[in-house]
Amino acid sequence: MARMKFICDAERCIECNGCVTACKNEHEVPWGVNRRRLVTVNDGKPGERSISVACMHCSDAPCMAVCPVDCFYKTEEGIVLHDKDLCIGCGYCFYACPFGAPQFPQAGAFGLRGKMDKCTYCAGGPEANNTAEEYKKYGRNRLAEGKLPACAEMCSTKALLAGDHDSITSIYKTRVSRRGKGEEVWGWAMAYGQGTEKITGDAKGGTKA
Amino acid sequence: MKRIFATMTGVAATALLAGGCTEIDQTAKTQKVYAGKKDERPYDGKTFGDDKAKWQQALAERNRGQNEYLRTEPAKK
Amino acid sequence: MLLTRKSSGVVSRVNRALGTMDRRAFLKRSGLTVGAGTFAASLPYAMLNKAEAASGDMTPAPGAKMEVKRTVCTHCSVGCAIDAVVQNGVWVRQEPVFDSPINLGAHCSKGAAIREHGHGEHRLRWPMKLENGKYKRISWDQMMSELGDRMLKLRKEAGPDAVFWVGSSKHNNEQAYLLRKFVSLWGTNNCDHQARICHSTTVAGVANTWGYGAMTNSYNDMQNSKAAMYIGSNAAEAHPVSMLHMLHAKENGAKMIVVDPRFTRTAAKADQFVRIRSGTDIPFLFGVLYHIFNNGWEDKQYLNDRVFGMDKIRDEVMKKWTPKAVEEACGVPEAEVYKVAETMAKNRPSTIVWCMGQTQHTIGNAMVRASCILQLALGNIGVSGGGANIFRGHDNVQGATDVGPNPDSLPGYYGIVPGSWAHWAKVWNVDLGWLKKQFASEGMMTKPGMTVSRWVDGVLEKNELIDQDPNLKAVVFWGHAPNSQTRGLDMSEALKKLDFVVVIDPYPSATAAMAADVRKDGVYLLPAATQFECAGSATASNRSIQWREQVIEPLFESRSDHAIMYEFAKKFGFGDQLIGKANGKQNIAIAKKNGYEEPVVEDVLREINAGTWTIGYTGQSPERLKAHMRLMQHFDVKTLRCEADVVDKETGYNIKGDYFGLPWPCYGNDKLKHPGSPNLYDTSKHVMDGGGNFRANFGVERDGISLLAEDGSHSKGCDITTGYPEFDHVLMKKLGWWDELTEDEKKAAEGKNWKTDLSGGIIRVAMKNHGAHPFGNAKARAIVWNFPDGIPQHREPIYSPRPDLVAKYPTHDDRKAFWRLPTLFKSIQEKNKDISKDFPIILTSGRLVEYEGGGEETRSNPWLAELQQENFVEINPKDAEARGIKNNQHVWVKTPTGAKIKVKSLVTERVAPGTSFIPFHFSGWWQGRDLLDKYPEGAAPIVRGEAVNTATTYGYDSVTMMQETKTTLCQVERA
Repeated sequence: MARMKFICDAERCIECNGCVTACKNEHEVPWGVNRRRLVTVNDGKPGERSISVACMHCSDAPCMAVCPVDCFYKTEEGIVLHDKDLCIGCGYCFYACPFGAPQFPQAGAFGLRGKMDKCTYCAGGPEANNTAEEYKKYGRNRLAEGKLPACAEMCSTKALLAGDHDSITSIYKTRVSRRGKGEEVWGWAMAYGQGTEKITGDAKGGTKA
Repeated sequence: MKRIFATMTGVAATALLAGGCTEIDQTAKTQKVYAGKKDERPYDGKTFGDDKAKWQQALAERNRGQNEYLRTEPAKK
Repeated sequence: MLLTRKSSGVVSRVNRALGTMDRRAFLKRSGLTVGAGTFAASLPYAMLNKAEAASGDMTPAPGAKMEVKRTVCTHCSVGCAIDAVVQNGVWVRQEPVFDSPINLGAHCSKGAAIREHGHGEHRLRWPMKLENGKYKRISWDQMMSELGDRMLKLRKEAGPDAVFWVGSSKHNNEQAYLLRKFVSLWGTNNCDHQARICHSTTVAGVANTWGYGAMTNSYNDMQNSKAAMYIGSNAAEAHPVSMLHMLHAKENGAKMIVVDPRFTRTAAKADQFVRIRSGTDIPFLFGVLYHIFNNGWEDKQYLNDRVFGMDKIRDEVMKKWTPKAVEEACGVPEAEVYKVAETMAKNRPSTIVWCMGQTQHTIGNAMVRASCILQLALGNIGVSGGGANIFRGHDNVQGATDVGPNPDSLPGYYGIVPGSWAHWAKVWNVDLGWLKKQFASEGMMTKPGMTVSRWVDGVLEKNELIDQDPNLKAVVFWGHAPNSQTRGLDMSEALKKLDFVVVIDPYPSATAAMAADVRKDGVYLLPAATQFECAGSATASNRSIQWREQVIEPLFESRSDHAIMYEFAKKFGFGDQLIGKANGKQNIAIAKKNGYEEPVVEDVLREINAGTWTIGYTGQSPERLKAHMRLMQHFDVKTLRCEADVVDKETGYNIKGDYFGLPWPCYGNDKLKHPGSPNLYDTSKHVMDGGGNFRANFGVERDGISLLAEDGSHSKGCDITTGYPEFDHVLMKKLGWWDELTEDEKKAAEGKNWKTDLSGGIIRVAMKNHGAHPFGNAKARAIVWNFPDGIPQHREPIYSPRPDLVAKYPTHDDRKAFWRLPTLFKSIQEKNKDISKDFPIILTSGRLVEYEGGGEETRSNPWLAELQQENFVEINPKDAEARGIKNNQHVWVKTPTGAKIKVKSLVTERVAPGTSFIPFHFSGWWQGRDLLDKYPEGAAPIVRGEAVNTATTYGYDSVTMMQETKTTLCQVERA
């Protein structure tokens, strides 16, 4: 079965924020809630690198582990979603998440007050696919339309890749072999377990943050 | 991040003491059960008519859009 | 950073994990109060309510009519295609167009947020006028009648030259063209647009070097480069999607060099970064050239065959720009310069990219020519993978330059000489005698107008010193921001002094607020439609022309620019002339809209096709362009060509052989089926395959040396295997080709040249039958003898931090009447030569990825505005420490004009000690004061800030009047 993942290729990311606004646009995410954002290291200095960060849909998701009401579930494709009807907005998941993914809207643009909101991998939530209810609580369900997350599809340099593990690692492998460097994938060890940080080869360099 | 790893290590160490010499899993297992509403699968419903293969094909097609090498080096197609 | 809702403790946790704080972290943190406090509560509701109210539901209801309209992003010149999904007339979604060979589905933050144009919450909704210091709603009828009468009265009393028309690079080709015609029918050359302050120096410098003033190759073609040098371009922020092609090339071995005063995000991706002092591009470029000549790396055969004057350049460079002199001027040590020269020479084809970093200087015209000379020396021009990849700014700035409102030319760069007027009057179906009478005099008809960079002086300068009868009494801002022009304090004075001000814009722009700050009345605001609310074509930087379908109907009471033009034209008594209606003929049909009339854009494009022979805007018929938009996936990404037989279902047109968007020149009429020109001056291809050579436009000899190409140098398959002049009826007859014209063509071509032969016969015979280039085959000019500095000379900026170098490299002498105005150089530089004692820091400006141009439009888009909430100044830690400035504090930036602007400090090594940087997209604050109450109600952008150009100084290019925004001086103080 397809295992959906994100890769952000730091050699290509130019920190343009296209992924951020693509997400805002597709889901009409309100001001102050950022399902996706950019993180830059060594800003303004040689070695400056940027990475686009959202929910990584971890294999062993810490948010699921700590949730007191067990509102999280994982889909067949490995996407971590949650039920906003159950969420009590306690914020434990935020403290557990190594990526700072969970967001807490001030008011009810996404349903009830204070429910946690995060990247859904453009896969909606526990409502019937592509219904108004699903859209209002979770945003669009592109996956059910046979499309990939808007952020990755619109990335200006195709730095941010989304799709099943095999597809995106194959794209990434091509790039790594052409460059002869940069086999480390930021965030993968953290999200998907040790041993997954390198996609291929033993070349030097890389972008480990 | 470091704090989280520290916590996890603590959990593992406790398990090791309790289990004596028995070799056990070193990662924390989350034996949690989802308490919310059941979700539909992405290929359920009218768009893909429960046809998982067709849905996967659609996604694979979209993946091609993320790989510009398929356009710059058409031989690879 | 991410967590606008969270306490600062949370933010610091994330920062600690990553060990740094970047620009966004800084801004987000500083934006905590603004974002969460002011907007978070109200905005999401407003956004959702609006969208839902309009569509009923954001999700597709079963059976709802869904349409997909293909359009093109309006935020930069890359030309990214977008599929807009429209439901019941509401723009509900946007989808990436993976098929586009230009952007392959990719978008930056602006492109990915483009659908907000369908919301338009902060738009100007209806016509308004300033009355007792407040903007008041009026009807379109009242506006057209009151404002129309006022303009007619002014024209009668002061003459047509009393009005200055600031057009727009955000108009599509048809609107830009129609505006140039409109202004001509009004009777003046006083019109201009953003190109003046963006790439005017490039257009003049490059066209005078080798023929056409445009990017020679394309973004796509950079995939074929083995090395690229960006000098004065921050493509990662200004042209983000272009980086897709560059990073792809880099992945496949291309070397990337960035030369800039700032360590930009583009520099972060480079193999080599070279920091120069702002304004010293010529010493650096000639320093590179020194090593090229010194090592014999120049392309000797190419220089012999195709370039004039390089020997003199070589003498100058070897004598004057030794490594020591280079380092003294630009601060770069020899080894670094050598490395650049070696990379460019040993990895050919190598390309050069430049933008505003080179153009916006008093010597911009010379800087760009130094870049051209470097590329000529390396034999890189006319070569795939090489070229001068000059990235234009706005989405249609190239097109507006080509066919739009320029003060010194008619569409297609036909100079404002009697012959050109006759040519266009014929195309327009307008009586030339009548047209002449519209002008103040025939002398004014052939005198270049003022420029947008100087309209302020057209208002304020003493009447006896200006080169036209009246001072400017009214200014029409038709899609142009005021905060992109320098000398804000003087502009404020000028706005006060004008009889009246007109703003025609989807966003009333800072003009409305600035004017209301100093006036009680006499300001008119007209709501214009965006490019998503009308159809038309736009020319991307690579000269490809793309057709936009109309996505939605104009929002609120707005109307398309061309509809507004036609309504004004009718009021002014030249409605028929605008649409070419005379003698039983009408060039442009009129469509009835709800309460007004609109010229049909396809017909406008056909009229452009009928007259714009010079630069080959003749082959791009609406039918061909539309077919290309439907069949994008068939064009090759690296060559832009369609190699297969593909027939468009709607038109039956076969696109085989075409280059995407028929990049101009696409010579001859559409029946010739010229495929467009992907890379200019490329002799390796037949002219009917988009090949070419340098243009014969500067005579046939100079100082006894032939200016035509040498024997054996010609485009592939040309019947003439040496240099030749441009074609006219005489040359056709001499060559014995005249009889290959049809009888009808002969009639039209008699007495004409290839540019004025309305039949296109001369072009057809020369190109198709003989493989010859209609504009001749000549040498490029390394020396442009008709410019103030034929050989590019380094001259210090007007406000220089180096008095020692001002003495060594002084600026030009003052000019008395230059574009109708006295223009000062040396007198100001002399007076300010020691000013760096009080203003020791270089101030430069540039772009942010989230915003475009003056920024009112993008700062009104919440998805973008949230990302950049305050204006800031980048200052080096050393300079900050010396001034007791900490990061993220309010500071005053003061300049020699006496202006002071209040911005946040961003302490960063991105800038060197002694240099500071402020983005130019902000407006709405005035020297520390928020002008919110000066905007029309509900039409203020979400984010406002201090405009850097409130504080920028005097200084204009010696050829084109480009303003010197990239180098001036300032002092930074704690607020």
